[in-house]
Amino acid sequence: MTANMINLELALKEKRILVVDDLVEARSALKKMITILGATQIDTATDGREAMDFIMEREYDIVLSDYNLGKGKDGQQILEEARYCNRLRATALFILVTGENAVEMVMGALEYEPDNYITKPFTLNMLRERLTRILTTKLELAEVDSAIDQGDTDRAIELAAAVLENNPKLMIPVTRILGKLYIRQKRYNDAIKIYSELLNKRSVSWARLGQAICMHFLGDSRSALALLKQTLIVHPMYVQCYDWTATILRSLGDAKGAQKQLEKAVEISPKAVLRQMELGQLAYNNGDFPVAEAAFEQAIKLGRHSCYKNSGNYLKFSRTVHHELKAGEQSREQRTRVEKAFKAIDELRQDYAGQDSIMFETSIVEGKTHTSLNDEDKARASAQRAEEILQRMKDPSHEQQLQMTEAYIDTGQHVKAKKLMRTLEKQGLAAAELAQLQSLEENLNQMVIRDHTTALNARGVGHYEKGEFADAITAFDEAASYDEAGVSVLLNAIQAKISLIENTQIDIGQLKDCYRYFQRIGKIGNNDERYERYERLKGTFMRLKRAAGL
Amino acid sequence: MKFEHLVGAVVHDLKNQLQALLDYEQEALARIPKRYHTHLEPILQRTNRLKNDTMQMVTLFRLEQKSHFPMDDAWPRDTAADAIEATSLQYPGIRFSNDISEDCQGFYNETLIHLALITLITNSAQAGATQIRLTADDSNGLSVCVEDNGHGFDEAVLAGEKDTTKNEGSGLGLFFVELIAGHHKQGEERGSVHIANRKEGGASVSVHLP
Repeated sequence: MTANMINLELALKEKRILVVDDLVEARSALKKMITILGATQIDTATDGREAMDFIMEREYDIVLSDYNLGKGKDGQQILEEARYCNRLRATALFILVTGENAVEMVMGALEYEPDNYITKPFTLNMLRERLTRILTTKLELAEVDSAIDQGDTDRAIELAAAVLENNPKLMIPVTRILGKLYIRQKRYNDAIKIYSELLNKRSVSWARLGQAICMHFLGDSRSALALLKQTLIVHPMYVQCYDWTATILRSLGDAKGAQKQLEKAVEISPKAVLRQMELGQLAYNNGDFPVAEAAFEQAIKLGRHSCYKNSGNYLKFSRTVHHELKAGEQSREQRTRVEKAFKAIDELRQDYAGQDSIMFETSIVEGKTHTSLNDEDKARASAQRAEEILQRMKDPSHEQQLQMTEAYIDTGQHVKAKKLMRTLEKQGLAAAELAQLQSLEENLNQMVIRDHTTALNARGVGHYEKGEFADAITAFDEAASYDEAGVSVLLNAIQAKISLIENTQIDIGQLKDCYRYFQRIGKIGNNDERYERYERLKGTFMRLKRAAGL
Repeated sequence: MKFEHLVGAVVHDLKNQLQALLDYEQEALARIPKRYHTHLEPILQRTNRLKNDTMQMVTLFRLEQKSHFPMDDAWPRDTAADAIEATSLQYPGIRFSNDISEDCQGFYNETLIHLALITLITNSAQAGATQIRLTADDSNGLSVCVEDNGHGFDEAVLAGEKDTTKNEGSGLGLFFVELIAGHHKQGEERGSVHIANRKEGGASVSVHLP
C-alpha cells in the first residue's frame, strides 16, 4: 500500500458499524468478514424496521446494508429515511450491498445516494480493497463533510472547490458534493459549470440531472425537460429523472403530465414513501381518485413504522375514498373501500388522540364518508363530534370553520351552517376562502329550497288525498316553480291537474301546464321505478288532449 | 412473459446457484483434511469455470438487451486483483503479476471490466501461458494490458480474418471483450481492444477505454 492509502484495520477499529441483511448466512458472513478486517463495534439488523430502530438510537459511522431485504423496506429506503430524519452525518458512510443487476437502481442517484456500493458476490479480498478505497476517499473529504455537518455551507463550498482544483482524482465525488451545495445556495450557474466540466470527462447520469435541475431554476424549463428525456434514454431506471420531470411539468401547469411521470417512477421504485405521497396529492388534485387512493394506501403502508408516518396520509386516503363511494352500491369493491376508510379513521383515533386539529379533521372525513353512503344518522353523529372539538379549539382556522360549515350542510343543519357562515364573513377571508364560502352558500340555498319544495309537495299530497284538487295544484305548482323540483314533484302536479280535469271539465290552461311539465321531465327509462306511473299519466294526458281537440 | 425475460431469469438463477455451489465447496474444502483436497479441487475448478461462463452469458444477454451498465470511479489494480482471484483457483500453475499502480484510476463499469479480464486470463491459460502480467496506464483514458508467455495469436487472427485460435471453449472470448470495451463511451469515443504478439513470445491484449 502506498502512503496515501488508509490502514483499514486501524480505521475500522474505532468505527461503529451497522450490518443489515435479511438472510442469516449473508449477515453473519459479512459480519465475520468485517471483523477479520478490523471492525470491533458491530450491530446487525435483519430488516429495515430493526435497522431504523438502531439508526434512531445510535450514531453509526458506517452502515452496510443489503439492497434487497425481502418484504419490507429495501436498503435504499433505509438510506432515505435515515437522511430524511437527519440520522446520518455527512461524515458517516452508507454503503449499499447489491446484486449486479440492481446496481443500475442505486447508482447515479443525485439525492439520497449511497456513499458507495459493493457488488455481490464478493470475497474477503474484494471487500478489503473496496472498503479501503471508500474510506480513503472519505478521509480525503473529511474536512468538507465536517463543514457540512456543522451547517457551514459556505466553508464546505470553499473547501470542496479547493479539493476539486488540487485533486483531479477526486473529481467525481467532489463534484457530486459541491454541485449539491451550490444548488442549496442557489448558485445554479456555478453548479452547471462544474457538472459540465465533469461531463466532458466522465459520462455520469447524476451530473446531467444536476444540470437539468439548475436549468429549471434558472428559468429554462424546456431545456431542462429535454435533457432529462435524453438522460432517461441512456439510463431508463433513473427514477429521479422522472421525479424532476414531474416537478418541472407541474411548474409549467401540466399537472396531468406530471402525474404520468410520477406513476412511471412509482412503477420502477414502488417503495419510496415520499414519492407515493406526492403522487397521491397530484392525482387527488387531478381528480384521479383511483390513482390517489392507491398511492395514499401505499404511503400509509410503507410509512406505518417509519418517520414518514403522518396523519395527513390517513386523512387524505379517507378523503380520496369518499369521492369514490356510491350510495346504495353493494359491490365488493365498495365494501373493501369502506372498510379501509374506516380502518384509517380508527388508526387516526388511536394514534393521534388528543390532537384536536387532527381529531377534528378525522370526524369531518368520517362524516363525509357516512354522507356518501347516505347514512344520515352516523353522518350527524360525526358532525356532532367535529362540532365539540371545534368548540374547544382556541383559534380554529378559516379552513376548519369552512369544513364545519360544509358538514352542517351535508347533515341538513342549515341554521347552524348559516350562523357559522355569518361568523366567518366577519373574519376577513382570503380570496380562495371567500370563493369556498360562496359555493357553500349556494349549496345551502339549494338545500333550503329542496326542504321547501319537499314541504310544499307534502302539503299538495295532503290536499290531493282529501280530494281538494285545486289546493293540491296550487301547492304542487309552487313546488314545481323551483328549478330544483324533482321528477316526483312534477308527476304529482300532472296527476293533480289530470284528476281535476277528469272530475270537473277540460281546462286548456292546465293541459298546457301538464305539457310543459312532461317536457321538463324528459325521457324516463323503462327500468326507472317511476316509469309505469309516467306512462299511465302520459296516456291519460294524450287522451284528454285529443278530447280537448288540441 | 416474453421469451427473453424467461431466458434471462433462468440464466440469472443459474448464476446464483453456481455461486452458492462454489461457496459450499469452498466451505467443504476448508473443513476436510488436506489429503482429500485433490478429490474436491477438480470439482471446485469446474464449478468456478461454469460460474464464470454463466456470468459471461448473463452479461452478454444484458448487453444484447441494451441494459444500462453505469460507470463510476474504479481502480484497475483492484479489478485486476479480483480477476486474478477468480481465476487462479482454476489455473494453479500460472504465475500472476499485478503490476498496476495503486493510484491508477479509471472510469468504467467494474462488473464488465472484471469479466473482460477474467476472459482474457482464461484465453491466456488456454494458450498455454504459465505467466500472466497485468499493467495499466491512466495518462490518456485508461489502458489495461494483459501479457502472457503462451503461444500467441495466429497471423489470421492478428489480421482480423479469424476470431479464435482455439479448439477449446466457446471461442468468443475476444469478441466478448470487444463488446465490453465498446460499451464504454465518452462523447464520440468508444473503447477498443488491441492485440499483438510480443517479441519475446506470447500474446499481449490491451483494452483501451476513453
